[in-house]
Amino acid sequence: MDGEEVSKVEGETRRRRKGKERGENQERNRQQNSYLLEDDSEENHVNPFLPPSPSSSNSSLSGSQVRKRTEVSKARWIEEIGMAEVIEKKGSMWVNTGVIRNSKLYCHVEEIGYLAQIGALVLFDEGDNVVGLKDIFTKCANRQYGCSWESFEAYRHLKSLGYVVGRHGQPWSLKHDNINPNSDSTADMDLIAGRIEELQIGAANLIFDIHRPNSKFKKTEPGVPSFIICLVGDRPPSSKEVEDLEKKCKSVPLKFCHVSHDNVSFFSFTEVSLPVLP
Amino acid sequence: MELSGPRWKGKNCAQIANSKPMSEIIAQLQICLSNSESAALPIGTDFLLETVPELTDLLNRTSFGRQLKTSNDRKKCFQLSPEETFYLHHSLKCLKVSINNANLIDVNLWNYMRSRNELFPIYYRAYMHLRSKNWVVKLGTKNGVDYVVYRHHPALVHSEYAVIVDWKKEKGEKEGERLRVWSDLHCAIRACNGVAKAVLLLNVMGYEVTFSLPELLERTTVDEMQITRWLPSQCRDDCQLEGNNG
Repeated sequence: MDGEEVSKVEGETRRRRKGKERGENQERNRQQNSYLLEDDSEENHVNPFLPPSPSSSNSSLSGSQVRKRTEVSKARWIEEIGMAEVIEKKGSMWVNTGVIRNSKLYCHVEEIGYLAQIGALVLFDEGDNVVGLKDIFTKCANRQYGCSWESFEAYRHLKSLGYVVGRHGQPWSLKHDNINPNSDSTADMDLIAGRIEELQIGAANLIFDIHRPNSKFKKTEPGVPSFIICLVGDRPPSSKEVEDLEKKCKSVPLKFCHVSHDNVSFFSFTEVSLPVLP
Repeated sequence: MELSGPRWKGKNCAQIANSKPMSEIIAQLQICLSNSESAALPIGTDFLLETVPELTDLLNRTSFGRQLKTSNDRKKCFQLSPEETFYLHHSLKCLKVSINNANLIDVNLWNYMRSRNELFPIYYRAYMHLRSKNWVVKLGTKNGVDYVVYRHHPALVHSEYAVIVDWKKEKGEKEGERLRVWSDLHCAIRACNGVAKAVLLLNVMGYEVTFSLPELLERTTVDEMQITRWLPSQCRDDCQLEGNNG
């Protein structure tokens, strides 16, 4: 082989290796994130009666510890819009987390809850004090920010599996020359946060637009969601409810989510017509 | 299939369980939680409790709630179900519950729970019945039943019973609210057989219409009925048939 061919082969090998590394990194990231998921089998419980291992500095269960991260982003809570502005962006997850309003990055309460829980984000209040996890979780459960504990559990479940999860009907990216985030105008606040409707208890609510795990996802061009998540109320939806909700989703598939304590389940209710067989 | 008593998960598990009976660990939890300043806060229909290492350890050992994974070394967060919260508050008298910055106590907390779930009184009665016998009770959603119960910590032993809670106003009443048609029963048994559990039907009986505290807890009784399928085809030659000697 001459010099040119050798370098071409070397280049190809290098590219293939890089591609493999990238694939391995993605897999590792996915595993780190899915570490948050509770194991599906009932029989997998961490034994609290084992003596603490010498490697852990305190008595916390090894299964409950999330790996410490070196890339930690910072965000500041803004009460008027019920969201936080990201003031220090670290890590690659911002490609599919948070919404852009006039080139600034904001995140909803469920996004803050998820990122804080995996140690990727620290939240500050308006007085520059760190907001602890207990208070962040309380904000998630507080229905006035357009989230509920159940929708947060659903968000966390899907996000840790790698899906791109956004609030239903809210644009990922908006550019509006008239927005002034420092103004008191409610019109401006609405543009940033979108309409934050209080999730009704007991009723079925459309909560998230989901895109499949996709490294090519762009906030400026998200495309049509892969499916929409509807959080169900106290009982399975009636066929009339299913029909009404499907009309709202147009042709995007709808999945119903039920959250009960430690269990997040998804269901499809599809109207069919069995073929008449010969 | 034959259920022959507890199935321990490892060689030392029975030994650990015998040396540390659940009642003892719960007594330790009571002391620790009573002295704690932490109060449970509502999150959805459940409750959030922030804990420090000693309390974290005791809640894990008594298998109350679910510890939320965090990256914080010291403080942890537990998610408690309504039954667990009320049991720790009312029966064990060691948990404070704070809703909208007010500490809710006993009847007020009971009414709050009822407002979120009208069947809370019935389920709580069943939960309390099992926990006060020192069985460990966890939600049974994954098995399609109300609860699953363990003889000790779920890490040490497999659960033996899948619990369905039913309720009747009076003892003589024929029909309960659950297992209304045969396929309900077959469904429950099928789901449980696959994970080696028997179905335990708990009948909460004799409640007044008002569901109030303390009447509901004082005036109701709980009957236990184990439902298993007997498969004659799998009966061994030397198995004893009951009532053979008439």
